Amino acid sequence: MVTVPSRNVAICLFVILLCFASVPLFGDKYFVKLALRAIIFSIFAMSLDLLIGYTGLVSFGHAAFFGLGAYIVHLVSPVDESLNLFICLSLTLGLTAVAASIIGAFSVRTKGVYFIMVTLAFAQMMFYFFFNWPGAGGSDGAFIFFKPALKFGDLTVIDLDDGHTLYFFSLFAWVACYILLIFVLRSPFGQVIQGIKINEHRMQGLGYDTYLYKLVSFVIAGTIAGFAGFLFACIDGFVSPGLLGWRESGIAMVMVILGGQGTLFGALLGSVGFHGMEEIFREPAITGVIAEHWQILMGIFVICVVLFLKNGLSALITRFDSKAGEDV
Amino acid sequence: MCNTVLSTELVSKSFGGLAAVDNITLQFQKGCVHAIIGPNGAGKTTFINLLSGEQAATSGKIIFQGQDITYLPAHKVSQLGIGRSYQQTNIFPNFSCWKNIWLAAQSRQKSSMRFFKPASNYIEVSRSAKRALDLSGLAKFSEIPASEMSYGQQRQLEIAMLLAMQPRVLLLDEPIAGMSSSESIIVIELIKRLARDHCIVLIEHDMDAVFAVADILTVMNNGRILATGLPHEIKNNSEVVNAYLGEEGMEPISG
Repeated sequence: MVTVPSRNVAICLFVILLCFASVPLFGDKYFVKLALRAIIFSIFAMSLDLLIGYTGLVSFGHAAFFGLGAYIVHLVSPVDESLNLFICLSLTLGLTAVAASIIGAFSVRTKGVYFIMVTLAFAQMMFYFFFNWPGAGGSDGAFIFFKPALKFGDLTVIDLDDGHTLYFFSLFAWVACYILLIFVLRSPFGQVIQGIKINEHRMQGLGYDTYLYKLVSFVIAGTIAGFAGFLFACIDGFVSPGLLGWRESGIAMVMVILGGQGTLFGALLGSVGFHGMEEIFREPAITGVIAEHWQILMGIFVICVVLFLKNGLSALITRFDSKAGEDV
Repeated sequence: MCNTVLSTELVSKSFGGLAAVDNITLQFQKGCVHAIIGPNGAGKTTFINLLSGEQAATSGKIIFQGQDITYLPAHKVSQLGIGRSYQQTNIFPNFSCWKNIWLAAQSRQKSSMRFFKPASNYIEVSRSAKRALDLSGLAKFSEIPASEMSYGQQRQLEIAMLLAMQPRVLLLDEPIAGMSSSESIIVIELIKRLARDHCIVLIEHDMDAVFAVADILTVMNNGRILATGLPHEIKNNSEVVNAYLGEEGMEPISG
């Protein structure tokens, strides 16, 4: 159980983050946006790793909170001016937490394949709700004309409408979420959910109300996914029902598995690997005629990683760790 | 001499038409080892499951220190101070021996809904886990993953986890089954020592061990109580000898 990053992991993460930080200095607009999407999806996937990799809850409806977070930005932003960043963020986090509590209260009662089905069903319900609701743009999606900003009078401190500001804000958010989750996993609460993943029956015997701990874990994960959705909505200022669909849930799950579940930082590797490979496979100069059917190559790539690396891309780093440093 | 801590009144558990536990009325006292013996399928483990809240009784009552706990879920029963060990080894194989015990000790905190301070900084949990580790004789294995311990050591770990929960009642379901003789001696000595200030319910097939530690014996067969009494009374009960002790061979008992 790798919780606190080992020295190798910390060095690799530092290098990766430095690379990300330098992208806006060198990269063109397209590349910056690609990197930004990778960062935001990494936050989304990291929150899912808390469920899959640490609590043992395989949620197939995690995009419900990602999409909801994005839609809340649209719903609370006025059409003629930007909303205060803190108010917008608090509303997003608060409301996704409420939604996660309600959905979690039902789904956490179930186990295994039933849990997968119930979370998927809730997410599809949310998808069709936004798909059919004209008030939120329906199937066409909707625009956010003024993105959240932090202003004091005429002084603009943070304006997420600015690409570079949003980029560094998201990079900072990734680091904040990563550190927060490490603290959570080291705490007594974190020990309990990791115990639940391995042997829930025994945890009940020890006197833990496992339902409650799983629910809280579900709410934390949902809220962080909502945060990722908030950031995603600010990229193009556009939200669409597809964000809540099972395709997005599946992509997040692929990223978790690609990166290595139960590692947290694996989500970053998974997201970078997924976005990077997608770009490479779609480039006709590299893959020729198959470029149009890049999903086939992506499928082969994911299968190879799962078959040949014991715990996804993270294994490339952790295989050099000494064994003693792993258990925290 | 002893005061009753845990008692059952006409407790039954049926699966369909089969009464696995049939109208059991028993009292368990503090300071006593109360052994429950009987052939396989007699309903002993089901009875323990009822006491620990892992299965709900079909009828009857279970009283712990004056409180009706018949329908409490397992985690609440555990929090009241009734701890159990399992017949099938039931541990956290991926965690180290120490972390297994640690999780058990942490369960006695008021709440584990704490999110920031690292778990390892909770000194009282550490102390209680250390005590359980030493008592169970596993100190030198503390860093080994539980999955790499020998079967006997895993059984000892079960007991260490139970101790870390600091229960008032210990429900031991075949604690020494599969242990080497040196390991089982440690555990039998431990049970004797714990019996002084705990209430112990023991299921065990090893008759030498049972007669070495038990203060009171109950013999079960087909979900019912065949007899309850002091060890020498049970040994000389002809009905018991016919139903159960006889098939195990008279040698170890009459000796």
